[in-house]
Amino acid sequence: MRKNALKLLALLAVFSFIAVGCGDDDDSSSASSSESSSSESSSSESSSSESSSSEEAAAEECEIGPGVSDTEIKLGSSLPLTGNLAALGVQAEFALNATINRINDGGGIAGRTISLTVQDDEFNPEKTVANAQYFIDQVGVFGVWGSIGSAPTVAAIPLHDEAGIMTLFTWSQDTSLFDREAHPYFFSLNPSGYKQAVAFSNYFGNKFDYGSETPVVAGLVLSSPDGEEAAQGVRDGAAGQFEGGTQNWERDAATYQPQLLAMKDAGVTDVYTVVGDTQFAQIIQEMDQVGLEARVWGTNAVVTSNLIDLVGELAEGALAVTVMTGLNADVPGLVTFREEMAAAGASEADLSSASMLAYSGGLVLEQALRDVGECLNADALADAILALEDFSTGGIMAPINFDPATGLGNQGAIIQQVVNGEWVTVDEG
Amino acid sequence: MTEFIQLLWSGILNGMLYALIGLSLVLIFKTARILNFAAGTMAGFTGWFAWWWATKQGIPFLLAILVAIVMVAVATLLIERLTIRPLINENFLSIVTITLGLEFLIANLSINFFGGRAESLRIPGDIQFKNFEIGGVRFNWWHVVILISTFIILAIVGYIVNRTELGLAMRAFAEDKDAARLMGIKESTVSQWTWTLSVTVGGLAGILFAPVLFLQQDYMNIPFIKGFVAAILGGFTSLSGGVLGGLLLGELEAFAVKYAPRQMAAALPVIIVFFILLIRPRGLFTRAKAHERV
Repeated sequence: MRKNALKLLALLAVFSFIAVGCGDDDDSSSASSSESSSSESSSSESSSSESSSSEEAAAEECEIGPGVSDTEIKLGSSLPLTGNLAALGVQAEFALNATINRINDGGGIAGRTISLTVQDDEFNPEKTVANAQYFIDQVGVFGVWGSIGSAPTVAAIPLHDEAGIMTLFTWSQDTSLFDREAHPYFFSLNPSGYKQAVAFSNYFGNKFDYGSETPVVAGLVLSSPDGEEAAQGVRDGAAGQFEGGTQNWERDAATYQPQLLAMKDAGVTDVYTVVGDTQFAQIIQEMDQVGLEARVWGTNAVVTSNLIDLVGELAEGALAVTVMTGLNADVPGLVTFREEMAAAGASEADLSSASMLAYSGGLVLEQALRDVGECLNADALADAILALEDFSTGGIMAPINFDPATGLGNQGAIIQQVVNGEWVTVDEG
Repeated sequence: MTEFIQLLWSGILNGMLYALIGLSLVLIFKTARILNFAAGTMAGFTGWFAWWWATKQGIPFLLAILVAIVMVAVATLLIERLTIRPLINENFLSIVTITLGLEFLIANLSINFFGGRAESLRIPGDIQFKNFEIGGVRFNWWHVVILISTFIILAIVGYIVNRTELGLAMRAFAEDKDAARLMGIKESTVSQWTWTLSVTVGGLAGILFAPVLFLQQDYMNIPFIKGFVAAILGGFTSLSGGVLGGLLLGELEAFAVKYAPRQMAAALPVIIVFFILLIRPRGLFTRAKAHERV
């Protein structure tokens, strides 16, 4: 009996070990949901004196999409509101609400206000799929907006596509999403992990002053297809000639020290990472502990004040290749962003890449909805988004132009660095 | 050679983490045959609690640790009394389910009370940021504190289990529950103190590694899984086996990166553990008792 129990335990251990290795960062438990306020206002612009025949003709010409009524546009967002990425989800939710407040307080668009249903997914793809089903079947949304994470978006997008609803401005980096033949209603302001790695590599190889010694550039990437794509991106760009000593990390890793030691042994001078801010902080701390004297590079996700709070002076000099300007940049878009976020109830700690990305998506969405006008459906909105030319976010991002093949609107690369305890923009890429 | 020692040190450090969690699990399993699935979350909650006392309430660091440990220990006594003890002679799965429920409950309490933002448990003098070198090998002062503290914790647990009446009672229950009851040992007392000791060991691990892993809502969940594997490697009923299992796992992870191909490095320790368990399903550090072999 006891022998059998031990065998069972042994099997349990192996399976749980494998499960963690393959799984996602989803450990927290309960789901919560919140629904943003949706004010009811309607201002019909159609004249009641028109004849019934002309109304029918207009209705035939004007096909209204799901989730759209005369008075309302219903949107959904699946965000990690609990779990270890909860901070990002909460920050993004503030920005989504800031956008909705701005639009609704201004009288809506073409007589319609926007309502947003937010569901917690704990960064768990299974819950994102359940949320997508809820949005489609129960709420009846026009689109899903501002969700966070590659794996959750990849899991849910087939449902969005099948239902003919939009997938708008998610924070997702999986290359498979950037294919408008497969996902005709997917639009993003955040490039794929591969493209971001190429942007880093090109900036490093073509513009960055790495000094007189020949650099050795290594990726520290997740053991996954995403991670391999990022490593390939470094190789494919101009820094590819310097590539060496790339290492993988696992989701169930408690430390990066062995990888950093291998990099030290390989003489690595620049480490390109694709991680969140807390992991980035741990990498910086462990680089110091093992004596790896190299520059460390991150992406959007590391540009937070939290990183500097976590490791203090060790963060000094850390670099990031991002698609948005720093929070302290002197650009008009940021002033408005700060005001609207404060009005939505956000604190200074809620201003981050997550909230800026969601907010910027909101600016694009608002403009495209205004351009479409009354006759709102997914195809019309997709056309309006693609028609935007050099759309300005007030300096938060480079001018936005959407690529019809990929649905990506932001081709810019902005280099930021921690200087005197703050992230500052050092190059527009 | 320098790199070898540095890797060895890295492996020891992580091994200590897995060992402490493994020990926390084994203590309860050995005595009560219960798997505590809330062990990782409880350990993490203790780390958060220490941070809250030290940072938010501004009390001295060592006092904050003491208060956090004492309060979590008292809470554990209550939890044991209210949720575990009523089911102590019921189905094994009932108590496992209770521990799973506790895991969810504590995780949610934690996120509501401490928030979703990652935090750092700052050590006085910021010694987690201070390093020294011996013969080209670099050491971090806080890691040295972890090593020494872990040895002290292991020594105290060893003393309690092997040299005290409570330990004798725990071992008696581990050997034969019915015989222990006939000898007049109160099961409720043993259960109560075993849970408290186990959660205290896990909580100390949570505090010691908070400056290393940073406080996140689930920062002790992965160490919990690794500690679970360590306990399995050690046989799950051997305290020293759980500790050695943790150290072995830590070293396997450290050296796999150096000596295995890049894409294989992460998977190699899992594969090795898999084969070890195929060959020795009882774990590396236990032997079948004579009557069981018969």
